[in-house]
Amino acid sequence: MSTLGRMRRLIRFDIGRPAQRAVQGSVDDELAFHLAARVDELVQRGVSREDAEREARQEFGDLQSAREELSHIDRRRVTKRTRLAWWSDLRQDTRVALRSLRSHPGFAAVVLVTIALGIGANGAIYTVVDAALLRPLPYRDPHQLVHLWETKEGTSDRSEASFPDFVDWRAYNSSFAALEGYDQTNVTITGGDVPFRANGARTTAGFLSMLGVPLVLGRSFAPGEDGPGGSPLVVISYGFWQRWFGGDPQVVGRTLTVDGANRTVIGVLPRGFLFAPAGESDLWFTIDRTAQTRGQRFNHWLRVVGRVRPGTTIEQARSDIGALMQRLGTQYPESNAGRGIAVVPLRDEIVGQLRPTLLMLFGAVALVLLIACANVASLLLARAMTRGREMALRVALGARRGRLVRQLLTESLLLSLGGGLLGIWVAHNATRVLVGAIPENVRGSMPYLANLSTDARVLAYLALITITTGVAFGLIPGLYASQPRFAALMSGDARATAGTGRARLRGALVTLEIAMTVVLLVGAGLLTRSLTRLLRVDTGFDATRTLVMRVALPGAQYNNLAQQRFFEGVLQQVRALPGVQTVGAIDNLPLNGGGTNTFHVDGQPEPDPARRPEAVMRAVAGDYFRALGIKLIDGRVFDARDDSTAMQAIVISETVARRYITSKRAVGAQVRFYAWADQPWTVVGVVGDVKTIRLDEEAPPTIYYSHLQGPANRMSIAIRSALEPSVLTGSVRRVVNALDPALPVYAIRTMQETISISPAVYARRYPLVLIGAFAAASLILAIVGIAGVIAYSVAQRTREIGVRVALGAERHTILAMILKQGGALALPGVAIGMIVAFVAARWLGSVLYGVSAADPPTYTVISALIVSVALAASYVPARRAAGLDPAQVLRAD
Amino acid sequence: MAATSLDLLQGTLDILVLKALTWGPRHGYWVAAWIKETSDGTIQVEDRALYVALHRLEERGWLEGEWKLSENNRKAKFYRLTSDGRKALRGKTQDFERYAAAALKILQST
Repeated sequence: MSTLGRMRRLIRFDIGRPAQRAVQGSVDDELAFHLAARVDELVQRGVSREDAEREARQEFGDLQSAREELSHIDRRRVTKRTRLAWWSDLRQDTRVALRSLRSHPGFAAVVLVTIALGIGANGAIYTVVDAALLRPLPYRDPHQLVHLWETKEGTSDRSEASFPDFVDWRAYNSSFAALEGYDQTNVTITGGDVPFRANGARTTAGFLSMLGVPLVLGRSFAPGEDGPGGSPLVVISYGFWQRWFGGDPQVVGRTLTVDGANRTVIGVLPRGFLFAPAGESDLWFTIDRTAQTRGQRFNHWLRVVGRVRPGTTIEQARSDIGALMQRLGTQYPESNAGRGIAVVPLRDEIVGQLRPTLLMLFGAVALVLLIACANVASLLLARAMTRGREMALRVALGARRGRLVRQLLTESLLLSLGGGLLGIWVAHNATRVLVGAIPENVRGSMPYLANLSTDARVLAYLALITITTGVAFGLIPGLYASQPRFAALMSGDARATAGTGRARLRGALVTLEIAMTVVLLVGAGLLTRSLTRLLRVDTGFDATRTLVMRVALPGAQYNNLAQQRFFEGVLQQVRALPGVQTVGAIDNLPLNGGGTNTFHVDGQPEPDPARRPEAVMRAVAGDYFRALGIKLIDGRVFDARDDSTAMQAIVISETVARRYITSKRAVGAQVRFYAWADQPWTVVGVVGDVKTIRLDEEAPPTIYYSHLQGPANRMSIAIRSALEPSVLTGSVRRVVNALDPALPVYAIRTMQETISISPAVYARRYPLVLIGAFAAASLILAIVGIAGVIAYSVAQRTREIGVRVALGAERHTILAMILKQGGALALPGVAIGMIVAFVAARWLGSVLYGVSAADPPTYTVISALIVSVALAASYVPARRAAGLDPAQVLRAD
Repeated sequence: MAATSLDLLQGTLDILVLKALTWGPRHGYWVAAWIKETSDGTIQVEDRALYVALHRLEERGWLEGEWKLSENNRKAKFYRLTSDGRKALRGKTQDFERYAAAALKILQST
């Protein structure tokens, strides 16, 4: 046979192959009969048998080619027939299945929803897990890359490195092939229609080459280009190249106006390039070469990434650089005493916090799918039981077993296809919800979650699940129902007790399902309580009717004096806007973290370097404290008098006064900051504590100074007003752009929004959304599961119940009996779930806030909820059982 | 090979085969003999063409094959006219009669 022929055979419709093989034989028989009949006739006429045979063959002509032609026609006919029959069977099966599903809409809906939930949840989680964990880091040999953080003895804090530390690490380590630093920035781009803010990263010269990213155009920075005296350069992202330069192939050498200064484009990064810790950076610069901080060992600002030498383990690198850090500690005790170093694989750094959660969710969701499958199988089986008589009858009337199985299979495939389509829709929306639940500012640090869509691979994965479950759901009940034993059972042979083992297995599955639901519900409950507690925490400021927005001044065009003049001007004009009550500004809003400074209080003994007083520093302008409703406790706040010619004044938070100042009254005390010039700063006022860093942490000691005495180039303007935020935004933008049309106004939100997207809140809200969604899905599945098992058991016990009723059992006794069965499924599930939840809640650990992992109200409410749900789910089949007519049940046998 | 005294017109063989089977289920050999006999030996069908016709008609669903014992106890493939086949025969016969009459009219014209 020719290769082509063989191929055709391979792909040819497979059904009816034996029939086709029979074709050749049949043609041969037919021709043999013809020849024999002719020979007989000739022999009868007196021809010798030998001559007769020759003549018959001669008359017929080319026997071989006739044989082939006839076989060919027959094969074609057989194929056509089988295919037609197959399609017509399918049409018939589909029609029958649709009719039967339409007549049981409740059953169909429950199965569809179950499959859709199972598949939808899987699709969504798979999409997110795929993006976060399965796609490799797009760098050369990513396993060699590590992120380095400085640590402080006795704390779990991690901080950036100081530049001199970084230089020493580079010079004296023996395990890194490269060590490079970066930090994040944002800049204003001008030269287009409107100025806009872009995210950027500043790196040491070798950073991009260390990652091993091949550029689309041009080159990345060369060694030494991060030193003083070089020309200003920029490497741009693929997206920025497309948007800003229209994908100009000659872009290398063109200039870009960044913060008012021209920079030369030297390279374009590949499409999809991402260095997640630096956010979605469109522009890559070298680190600020004029920064004074380069010489300061106590100023921590540089994030360091390293590539360990081939053959060196991360463990070796860790101990090598740890020892180095210890030497620096003895060499520079002032700044480095008690400081250590943490070496974290880059992958963990990028997806680290998410990884255990995602893996746990993936496990949970796979379990959800399994349970969904078990549920549907159990529903179909219960249905097959109720249709047992129909099946038995059809077998008795001669229906082939294959045909029955096929019909059940059609029905379940229809259900699973419908469920699968619904599931894809659910997955699509659930992915959006999952990603949407992450606040925008956090999503920035997880850019790999941007533009997630359920892609072809996920769809293929879902299709596979759909078809597998469809076949499984159809085959099991199908084979089971078409068993002779089953037929016997249905025809009234009460001694047949097939399926008790299976029933027990289904019971166990439902119990497991309930346990899992309990765990998820307890998690969701504890998180809900944490979140409500957290949102009731006293932030120290009044978030109502306060709108904030940010303005950043490009350093190249604004010197210190110009910065101060600009913000004073803006505040003055905004204050004059109708409807504005108070306006102020601050370099970093509350709940936003920020750097600390150590200081010394005059007249108090000099403490050990590791125990120096330390406070978060904030520059403020205008009526900041009144605008945010921060209480003044003693003294005064800043006013226009506190300028560069006046005495250096600070306002301290209550905690600073209480913790660090021993004199009776804090106002009037003088402090000196180690990092700044040696002149003293005088405390002029004490204000209430504010959650400067995080909502779920103690309010840190905070020291405020006026921007007139310590200018800031970026400030958030805070406006207290009864006006609509959108109206106000427009007016402020006009004020700002009247002063400088090149300045964008951004990060516009109310203080309430600032709270709700702050890390402490989303760290709880996000898992709450996820766990809550799973808890809901699994609760629904548990309800279906209980109802399914009880319905099945009722179907199986129909005769028994009939007999009981006939013997005088009251309806409510039957009802109670069935309900008790539902309770018996739920109670062990609740007990197991409670224990697991109790243990697992500890993993939530610090995510819990103001509530213990063993919070009794949560556990009580949830067990009550589950038990009542179990009873409610058993009620429908129980009522059916109680309503059985004994006469009918027994007569039917 | 037996000489055909009349070359069969396209499609004519189909009509003859269908007509032969109006007698009831018959095997190929009988059909060949019947055509020859009924046409008084005028029409001799080539054996191979006859079988091809039978199989084609079966493929089209006008005939249905079944295996039975022949008059002298041999296993033979009998062809039965289906209702579709009967309908087709009626249509084709009318067509053929119209055609033959028209052709005759042309030949007899002066």
